[in-house]
Amino acid sequence: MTHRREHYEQLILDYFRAVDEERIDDVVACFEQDATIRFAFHAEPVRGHDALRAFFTAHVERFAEHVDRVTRILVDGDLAISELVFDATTTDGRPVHLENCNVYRFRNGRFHDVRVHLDTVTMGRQLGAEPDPAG
Amino acid sequence: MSGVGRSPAATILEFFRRFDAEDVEGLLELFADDATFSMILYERELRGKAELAEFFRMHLANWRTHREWATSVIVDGRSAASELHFEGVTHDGKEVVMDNLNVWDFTDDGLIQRIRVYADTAPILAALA
Repeated sequence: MTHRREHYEQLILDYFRAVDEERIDDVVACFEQDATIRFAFHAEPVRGHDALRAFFTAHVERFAEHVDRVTRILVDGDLAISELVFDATTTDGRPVHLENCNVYRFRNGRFHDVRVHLDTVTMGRQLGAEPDPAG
Repeated sequence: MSGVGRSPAATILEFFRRFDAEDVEGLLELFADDATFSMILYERELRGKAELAEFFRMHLANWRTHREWATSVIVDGRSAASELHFEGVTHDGKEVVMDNLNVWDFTDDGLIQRIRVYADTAPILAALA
């Protein structure tokens, strides 16, 4: 069932607000039970609520502060994208600035699959470590 | 044929067809005169057909073979996004496979006004090193 575009736009905004406010249960609730998120096209996806909860918990613990600013959302049926700017400071004081784009596939009004298009070279350089963000 | 009058989805598919065919002049016909192109590999936004032509020729020169196609197209008014699968082989035989995302803006008459490419540069930098 395709929902109204306003529903999908609000879900995307709610997702990033929950990430920023570190409300992990609310982040996970944006996803279907068997949903996937992938942070580089060649990486294994994070699948299912338990794995998502562990992933996002580790993600927010990596940063002393972090904010996702959605700059644009496009919606077409059950597909959408969001352009966003991610600014953060790691717990060891490194500034991080990334400009990413997410692709969302929806099912039953929630995320069924999310693909994060980001540059792992830039991210790795800024983090000074192996990449693993939640863009 | 220029891009005037095409739908955004048709222009995106035509863009990749002409890119695959290395038809630089044909690609430029799809763009507005003051169109812009940005990609993380380049520090500044490219602007205008002369800079676009230079970029396309430089990019295409990297590959012995290449093919690319849109795996999805999202159209929202005069803006769109396309997921892109790229497979290329450099002149010294290195294979590159990438999945990128392009975000497009179009003029009212259907020409490309802006492309922003979101890409993971790791595969391409490794191959071109």
